[in-house]
Amino acid sequence: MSVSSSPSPRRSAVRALTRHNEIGLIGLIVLVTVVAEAAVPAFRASGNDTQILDNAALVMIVAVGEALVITARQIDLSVAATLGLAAYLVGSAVGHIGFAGPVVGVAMALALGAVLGFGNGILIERIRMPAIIATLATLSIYGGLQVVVTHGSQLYSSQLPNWLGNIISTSWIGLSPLVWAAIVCVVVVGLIARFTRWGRDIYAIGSNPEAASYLGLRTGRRTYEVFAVCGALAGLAGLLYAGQYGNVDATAGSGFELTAIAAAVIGGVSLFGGSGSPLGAALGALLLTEIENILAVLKISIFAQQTLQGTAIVVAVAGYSLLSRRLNRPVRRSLRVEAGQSRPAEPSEPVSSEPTEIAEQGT
Amino acid sequence: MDAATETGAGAPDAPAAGTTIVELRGITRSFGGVRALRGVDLSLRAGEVLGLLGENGAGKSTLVKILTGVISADGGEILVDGRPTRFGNSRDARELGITATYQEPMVFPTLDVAENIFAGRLPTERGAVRWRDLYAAAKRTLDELGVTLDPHTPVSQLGIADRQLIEIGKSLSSGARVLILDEPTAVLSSREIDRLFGIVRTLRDRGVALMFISHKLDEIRQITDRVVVMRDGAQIAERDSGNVPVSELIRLMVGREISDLYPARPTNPGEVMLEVKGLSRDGYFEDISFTVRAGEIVGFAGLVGAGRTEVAQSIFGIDPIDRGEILLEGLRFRPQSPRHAVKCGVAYLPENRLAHGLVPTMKVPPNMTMSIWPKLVNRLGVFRTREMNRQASELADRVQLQAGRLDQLVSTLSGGNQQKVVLGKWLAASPRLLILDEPTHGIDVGTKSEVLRIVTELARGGVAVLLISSELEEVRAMSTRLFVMRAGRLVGEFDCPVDADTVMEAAAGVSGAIA
Repeated sequence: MSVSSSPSPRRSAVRALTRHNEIGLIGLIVLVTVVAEAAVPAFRASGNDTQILDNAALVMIVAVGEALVITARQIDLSVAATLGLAAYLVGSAVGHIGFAGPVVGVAMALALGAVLGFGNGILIERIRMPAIIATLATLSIYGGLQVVVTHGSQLYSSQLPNWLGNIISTSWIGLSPLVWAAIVCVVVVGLIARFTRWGRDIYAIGSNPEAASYLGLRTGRRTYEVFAVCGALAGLAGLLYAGQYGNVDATAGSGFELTAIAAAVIGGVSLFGGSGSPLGAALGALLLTEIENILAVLKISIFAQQTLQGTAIVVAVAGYSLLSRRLNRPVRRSLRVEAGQSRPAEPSEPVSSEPTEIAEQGT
Repeated sequence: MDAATETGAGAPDAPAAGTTIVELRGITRSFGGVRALRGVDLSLRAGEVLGLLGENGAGKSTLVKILTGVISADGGEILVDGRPTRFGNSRDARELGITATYQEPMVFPTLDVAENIFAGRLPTERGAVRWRDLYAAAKRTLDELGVTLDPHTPVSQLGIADRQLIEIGKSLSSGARVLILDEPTAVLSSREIDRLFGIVRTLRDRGVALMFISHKLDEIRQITDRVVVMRDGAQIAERDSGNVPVSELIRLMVGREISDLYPARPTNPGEVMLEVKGLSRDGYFEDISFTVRAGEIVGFAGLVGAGRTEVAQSIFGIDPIDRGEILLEGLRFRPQSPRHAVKCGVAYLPENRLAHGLVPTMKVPPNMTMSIWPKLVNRLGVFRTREMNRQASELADRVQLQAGRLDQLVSTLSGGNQQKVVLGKWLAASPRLLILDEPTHGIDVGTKSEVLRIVTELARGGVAVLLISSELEEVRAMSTRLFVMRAGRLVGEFDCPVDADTVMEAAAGVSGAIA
C-alpha cells in the first residue's frame, strides 16, 4: 500500500483554487461589481468607483497588518486606538515640518505605531497575557491617551500640510495617493509574508507554536516584531486618516479594529493561525467596503448595514470551514480506493516476506 | 544560495565509525520535587544505532529533550565532539547537527510538505525564498525516503504516519549528525517500518549517530547495535543488542520478572450485548456486521488506517452512520452523540488519550469522575468535592494508579498512568459495552499488563469489550473472537486462539482464504 494519496486532477484543481482563495475573492468582487452595475443605478454614478477605493484604502492597510498578527495566531484589537492616536499626534506635528514633510511624516507615523505595537508585544510575550486581553487593554489605554492629548479639541484640515490634505483630491495615474499608499503596503507586506524567512516564520509559528519553538525559531522575538509591524501600519493608516477626513477628534478610528479583523477573516485569514495571506485580507477589505458602499447608495440604514456586515463575516467563515471540511474528506477516500485497487496490480510485492504490519511484541 | 548546497551545508565529512559525537556525563534534571534524571551517562557514536529502553516515566523523553536543547540539565556535562557544550535552545543543538523526531510529529499542519521539511531553513537568494528550489529539494528528500508524496500537499491532509516521515525528512535533509527517533514506529505500518529501518541503516552507514526509542523489544533487537536500559531516571544496563534475550531486557526494564504478560481469557460469554448489521460510512467503512456478547472480548485487528477507529467512533456517536443498524441488548440504537452513547451504557477509550480522553489541565480526581459528575451534585446543586475525591481514590485503587499521583495534573502523568485514569473514568460509569482503541499504545510492559488485566476483569464482570489493537500478539492473546478489517471492510472472523500468520494474511490481504 502506498503512503501517497494522489487526488484526481479535478480535485487537485479545486484544491489549488482554495490554496489561492484570492482568485475566488477577485471573482466575487467582480461578480458583485457587475451585479451592482446592472441593478443599482446610483452605483454607476461617476466617482463612486474612486470613492470605494479611497474608502477601502485605510481598511486595507490596517487589515494587512492584522492579517500578519492573526497568521501568527494572535490578534490585535488596539489598532483602532493606534490609528486614532497617530492621526492626531502625527497629523498635528506634520503641519510644522517644512522640509521633506511626507518622508518625515510617514516615518513618524510608522515609528509611533511600531512603539505602540511593541507595547502589545511586551504584554503578550513578557507578561504572558493572551493577545485578546492585552490588546483589549491597550485599546482602552491608547484610546484614553487619544482623549487626553486631544483635550477634546479637534485637528482641522486647515492645519494639515498640502500634501496630506490633498491625499484624495489629487490623482496619480487615475488613483489617489491614498490608494497608491495602500497598494504599496499590500504589495510589500504580501511579498514579505510570502518570500522572506521572516514571513514564513510567522506562518510556522501560527501553524504550530510548539513545533516552531522546538525548531528553534525565535517565537518570542517574532511576536514583538509582528505586533510592531501591525502597529506601524495602523500608525501609517492614522496619518492618512487625517489627510482623508480632514478633521481628527478623540473618536477618530473607533471601530476600525473590528472592520480590519472582519476584512482579514473574509479574505481567508484563519483565526486559528498559519494560513491566509495579506493580499487576501486586502481583497477582503475591498469586498467589505464595496458591499458597504452598495448598501449606502441604496440608502439602507446604517444599522441594517452593520447587520449585513456581520452576516458577511458569518457567511465567509462558514464557507471557508465548509470548504476545508469537504477537501479533507476525499483524501482518505482516494487513499482507500487506492489501497483496495493497487494490490492486484502489484503482485511482485510479496507481503508475506515482510515483518508484520501488526507489530508483534516479543515477549 | 542553492537549495542543494544549503541542504548539505550542515553535514561535515563523515566521521570514522565509532567516534563518539555526543557524550552525556552525570546528567541530572528535576521537575519540581521530582527527580526525572539522576545522573545519566550516555554516548552516541557515529555509525551506530543506540537503543534506549525504559518504562514510561523512566526519563527517556526528558533525556531526549536535554539532548536536543529543548530543556536544560540541572547538573552534569554534555560533550559534543569532546568539547563541553551548553545548549541555550534547540537551535544550538540543531546547529551542531543534533536532531530528533518526537512521538507526536512536530509539524505545521497549515503549511505544505516542502515547507515543513525545510522549516526554519528555507532556501533563499538575496532574502527571497526560492520556492522552486524548495520544492525540488523537498522532492529529492522524499525520493531519498522512498515516499511518493506531493511536496505541495498541505500537511493537514496527511495522516500521522506521513507526518512522521516528514519529520524524518526534516532531519535527513538538514544533514544531521545525530538523529534521535522517539518511538517512531508506534504509528507506522509494516511497509513504513521497513522503509524506516532501511533509512536508519543507510544513515548509520553514512556515519550518523542514531538513537532509537521504542517499546517494541523485537524492533530494538532488530535495528540497534547497542541498547541502554533506563529505570527511574538512571541507566541501569548496557548490552549488545544482538545477543541479549528479550526476557532479560524486560527484567532490566521492569526490575522484576513478568511471568505472564497476558491474563487468561474470560470464558463465559453471556447474552449478545452489541449487534452491528451492515454498518457503513461512505469513504470510511462498508458493510460491517458483528456481535459482541456480555463477558466477551472481541478483538479488531488490521493495519493502521483500515477503518477500525472509524467504526468505533460511529458506534460511539462521534461520526455519522450512512447505512446499517446497531442493536444494544436487542434494542435499536441510533447513536446521536457521545453523550447519548454514554447514557446507553457505551464507553470509548480513544486512541489519542490526551487529546480526546482527558482534560490535561485538571487533576486526577475530576478527570476520573468526569463520567459521573451529574451524580456528584447534591440536592441543592452544589458539587460534592469530598465525595468526588473519595470516589476517585477508590477508582485509583481499582486501576492501580501509582501511589501519590492522585493530586497531580493529568498532563504531568506518564502515558501509562494517563491511560489508567481514562480507564478509571469509564469504570466509574459502569458501562455495558467498553470500546478500547489501542489501549496499550505507548505504554510500557509493566503497566500494559496491569491495564490488560483490568480489562479482562471487567469482561469477567459481564461487560462486553471491543478491543482494537495494532499489536497482533496482544489482540490475539486477549480476544475470545477476532475480526480483521482491511480497507474499510471486515475480511475475516476467527475464534481464538488463532495463529498469527492467518490474521496477518487477512489484514494484509494476501491469502486466498479471504472472503
